[in-house]
Amino acid sequence: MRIWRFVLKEILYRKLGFLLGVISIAAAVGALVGAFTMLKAHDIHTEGILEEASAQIEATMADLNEDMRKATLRLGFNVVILPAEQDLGDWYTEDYGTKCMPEDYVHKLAQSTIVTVKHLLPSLQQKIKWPETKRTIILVGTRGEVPNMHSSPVQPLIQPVPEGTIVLGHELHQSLELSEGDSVRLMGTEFTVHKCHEERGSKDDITAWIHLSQAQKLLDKEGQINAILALECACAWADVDKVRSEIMTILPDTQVVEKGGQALARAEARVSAKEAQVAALEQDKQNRTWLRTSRESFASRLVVIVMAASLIWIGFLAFSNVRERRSEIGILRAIGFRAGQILAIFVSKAVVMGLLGGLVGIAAGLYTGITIGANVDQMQAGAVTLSNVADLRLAILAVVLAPFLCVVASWIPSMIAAGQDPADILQQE
Amino acid sequence: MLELKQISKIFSGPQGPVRVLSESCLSVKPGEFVAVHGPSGCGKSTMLLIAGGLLAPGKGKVLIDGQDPYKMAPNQRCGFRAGKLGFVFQQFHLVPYLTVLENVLTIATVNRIENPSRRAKELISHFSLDHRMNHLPSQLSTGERQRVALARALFNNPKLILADEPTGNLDEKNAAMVFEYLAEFTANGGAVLVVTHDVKAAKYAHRTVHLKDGKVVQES
Ligand SMILES: Nc1ncnc2c1ncn2[C@@H]1O[C@H](COP(=O)(O)OP(=O)(O)O)[C@@H](O)[C@H]1O
Ligand SMILES: [Mg+2]
Repeated sequence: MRIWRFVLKEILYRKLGFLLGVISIAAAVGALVGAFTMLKAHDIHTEGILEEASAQIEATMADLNEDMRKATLRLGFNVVILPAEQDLGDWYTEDYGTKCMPEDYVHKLAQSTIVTVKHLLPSLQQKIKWPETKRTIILVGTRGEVPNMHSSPVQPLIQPVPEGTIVLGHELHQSLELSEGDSVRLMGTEFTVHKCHEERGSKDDITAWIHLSQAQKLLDKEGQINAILALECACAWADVDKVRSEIMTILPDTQVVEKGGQALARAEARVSAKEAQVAALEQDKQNRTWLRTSRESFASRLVVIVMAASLIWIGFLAFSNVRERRSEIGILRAIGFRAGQILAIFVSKAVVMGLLGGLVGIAAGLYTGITIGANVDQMQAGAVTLSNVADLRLAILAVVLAPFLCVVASWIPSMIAAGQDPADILQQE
Repeated sequence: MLELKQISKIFSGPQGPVRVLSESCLSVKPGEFVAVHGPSGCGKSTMLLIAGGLLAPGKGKVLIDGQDPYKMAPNQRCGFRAGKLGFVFQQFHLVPYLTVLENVLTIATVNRIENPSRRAKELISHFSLDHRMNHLPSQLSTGERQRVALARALFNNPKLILADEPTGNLDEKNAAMVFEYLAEFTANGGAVLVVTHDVKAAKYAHRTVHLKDGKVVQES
């Protein structure tokens, strides 16, 4: 007969006490594992929330970017680059420049490392008397966008006006009864109507657009332009001064005039929208951190209380087990069992109790941790699974820790058992 | 086999020291059955525990098979008891969760014994407990329980059996049976010391002594 036989037989004989001990240690281990699992579920949920929020911000920003692009297109460019000697008073009253600068400036700007300006549109504008129709119009020579060499290629914002064609503002094509495909003469040159604009309620309604090179020829200003319209790039659209200073360093004899304030406002709104969303995300993060801290402290308090209660309870159970087994201890010692062997019987029982309790506790802890973790955070089923919260190290710790705690809790009663004097027991008859 | 020389024992009770034994002498030879009589509380159990190496006397000397157990280290004394002695008590002291067979085998945990289960079964047969072999003590009558205790005490082939009121909880028939078994043990060369107030023990004992005022008084 080996010691373990005494241990197992006694456990089977006094099942209730043993089960109470197992439940108690299972509760302690369960609380520990459950707390860890719940916190892990919390972390997984937090990750999910923040990822979702980031993705949402990105999606919103992409939408806003597209809106911005379209809006800016409709509203006009954000800055106008004019020759330095251009009188701004004239420019504002006439709505077009009278001074010229070389067309080459556009290329200079396009080839520079300037990144704040993404879209460049050179133009030559002049108020003229349309000799053939006796109308005063604004003639605009344009040739579409000059791509900036240093930024990613973007779809041209302005459809260029092909050579030999003309685009007419609303008032012009209405009064002249012209529609797309018709022919019309302008200063002796034949043009095909390429497009008729809708009413815009601005000077655009009395504007005619032709290709830049043809305008230069007709107005006798070859190689000359009087304005470069620039659409700022996404990263600096909010900072007009930065754009201005960048342009001025490349083209010193120019001046930069802010235009399209509405677009700017939009852009600024977009910035603040992003800032608000980022702040909300930050707030979310902080909330989750705070929640985590409070859950952690609750869990740790709970674990400590449950563990302490469990240890006391196991100690009590062990103590009453020792009392119950006095007669057994007395006779075994009389027969020749050494004190160490009596200790071994009681300690082995604690180890068995701890192991069993530990295993039950791990299962119970994982189950409750997952359930509570999912319920508290209202996560959809499957978000927290056994495989993503189960921690092998934690399980090993629990399996080692539980018997250890059990032995610690029943150590004093076991020592009392081992130290009992058989004479004391056997004399009580 | 057993020699108690000038044994004194004083317990420190709540109302001061209680002198239980004073210079008691007693010897039991191999093959001898000695009964110690005396009223309750006169120190019989104390004497038996001292003789069994379980309670150190205050004064005097104990020799079992020529050796003084109280001169041994505690663990050595345990081994000594396991090898030489058998105990029987009024309360049987069977291990409640072990079967009859396992109770008899208990000493095999601490003492090497040739072919333990065969020996245990032989003893169980000898005490007419075959049909009870796999029963728990709680399922047995008191007479059967004491027979299990006797079987357990004999299991390690002891030289001396110490019995404390072995018939205290038994009816006459079972009490007689216990004394007969003990007498049989002495017939085979074993030594028996029974402390009891059961006068029937005298019928089986070679020698009956009285314990009076802490002293052994020879009788027959
Ligand atoms: N450990 C002890 N401490 C104090 N007094 C004890 C102790 N053990 C026994 N006694 C006392 O010693 C006396 C003899 O006890 P015991 O040997 O059990 O008597 P018996 O077995 O003859 O009835 C009793 O009065 C008892 O109260
Ligand atoms: Mg007594």
